[in-house]
Amino acid sequence: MDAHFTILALETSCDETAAAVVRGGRTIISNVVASQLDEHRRYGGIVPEVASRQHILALDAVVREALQPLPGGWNDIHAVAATYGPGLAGALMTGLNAAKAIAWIRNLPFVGVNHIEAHIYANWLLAGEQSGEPQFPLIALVVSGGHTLLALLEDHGCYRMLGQTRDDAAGEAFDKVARLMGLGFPGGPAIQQAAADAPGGVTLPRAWLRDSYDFSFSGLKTAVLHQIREHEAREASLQVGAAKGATGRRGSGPKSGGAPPVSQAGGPPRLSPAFVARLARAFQESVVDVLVTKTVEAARAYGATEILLAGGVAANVRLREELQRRAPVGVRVPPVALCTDNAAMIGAAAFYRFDVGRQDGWDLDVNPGLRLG
Amino acid sequence: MSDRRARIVHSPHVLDFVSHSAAQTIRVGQRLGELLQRGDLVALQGDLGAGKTHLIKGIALGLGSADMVNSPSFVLINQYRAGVQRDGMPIYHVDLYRIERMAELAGIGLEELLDGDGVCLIEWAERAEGWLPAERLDVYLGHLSETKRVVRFVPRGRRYEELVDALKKAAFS
Repeated sequence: MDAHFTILALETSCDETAAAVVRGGRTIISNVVASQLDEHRRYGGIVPEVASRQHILALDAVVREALQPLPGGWNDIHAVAATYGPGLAGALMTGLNAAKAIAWIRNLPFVGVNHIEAHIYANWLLAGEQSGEPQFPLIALVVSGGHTLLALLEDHGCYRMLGQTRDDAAGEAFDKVARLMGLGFPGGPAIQQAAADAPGGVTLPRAWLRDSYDFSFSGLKTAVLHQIREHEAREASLQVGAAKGATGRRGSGPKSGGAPPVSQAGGPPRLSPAFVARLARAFQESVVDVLVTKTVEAARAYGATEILLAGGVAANVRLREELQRRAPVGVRVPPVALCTDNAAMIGAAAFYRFDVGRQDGWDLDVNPGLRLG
Repeated sequence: MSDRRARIVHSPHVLDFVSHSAAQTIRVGQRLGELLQRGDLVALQGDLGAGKTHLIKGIALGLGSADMVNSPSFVLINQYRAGVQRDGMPIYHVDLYRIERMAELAGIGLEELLDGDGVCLIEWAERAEGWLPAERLDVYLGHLSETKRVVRFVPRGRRYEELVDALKKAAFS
């Protein structure tokens, strides 16, 4: 298809309002993301009603900014795309309806895009060093707050799901474990930071689910919970010992001399930073080990020419390092800004969808539970 | 609050169960799923890692669903299809983990799920306290040890009392 074909893409599936202009499926003309993170951080999660309202407030400005670099403005746009799922129903609806309205009024083709597919297509976008197009067959590992899946890509629009999570998504596990340890939201960066420079020594279980490319992280989450409870019980018994004037204090808690780490009933646990760091590291290593091992196995089994990493958790440095170290073929990882939710990836996916003749009608509705393939 | 708790303890319809593994939690869920009917509401409460999702995996199995049941925390609601013997009715799996205040429930479409065309299973149901229909099956899950969990089924209303009685028979006799 025409390398000058230019798509305006909108993405509003969760808590980022994003618009981008992408040319020829690979060149980013503009990529604007208005994050609602501050709106949601105080809630410790994403609030659907707040998200929808913020999208409506932000969309107009975000789209205008995305169009700014185009000399012909609206006239330089050849098609309009938007995410139609998966995501929060109300949030998806704002972007999808805005895109449909724009396409209808300007008489342009409209393309609905699967958000998970779009994360994979972030790997087609040119960023920094110029590289050739990924060549099929490819293995894609998509890891984010809502998804953890391995897919075989045989051609554009031709996917085979090899495995997915049987319980929590990887990013969700990071969020929940961070909460258990009293670290902030989002959990991914918080755990990565806490784990940096932490000593090893603690090993947490890995759910291998033999003979399957599926993943499971809920057992790991429970293991972290029990490590915390044991630690608290140990600390509490030491406190009792100390109060009785016992001298044989064992263990090597923080020697800060400050208040002892005692968990408060109901509130988030107050744990020693050294304990949290070791546990964060052990958790991160466990998640990374399973993700990398299965991805590498899949790449070998299906003779992939390359591995594509995608989704917000792809921003994790340990995951990138380990995958690159252990992979039998090259690993492509989008820059961090294209791993987290953005609209440029929607534009890329829409281009290749349109290229194989896919186009959607005005009746396309949001599909909050949309899956890949 | 304490009044209500006292009543629960004395109710002959309450069922307590100690699960020794995730697999066992799934099995009891399966027995429950076999008994659920269109329009039923199951409200689950329990800490992270207490086994809510495992119980729901079992319920979906019991309803004959072949779909992958996983945590809907991100999209808040997953929808599965029950088996053909249950007319493929929808199973709604709701996770209110990210919801901290009742006001936030607006706009996620929960009302429509309770209309009765399928079975509705809600994790972190305490976040919707006061908003859920009074008639429902409450399930409380708690940690006993790393692998052991206590599961308490508390019926609210006649339909659910019958349900728990039937579950007692199906699973434990």
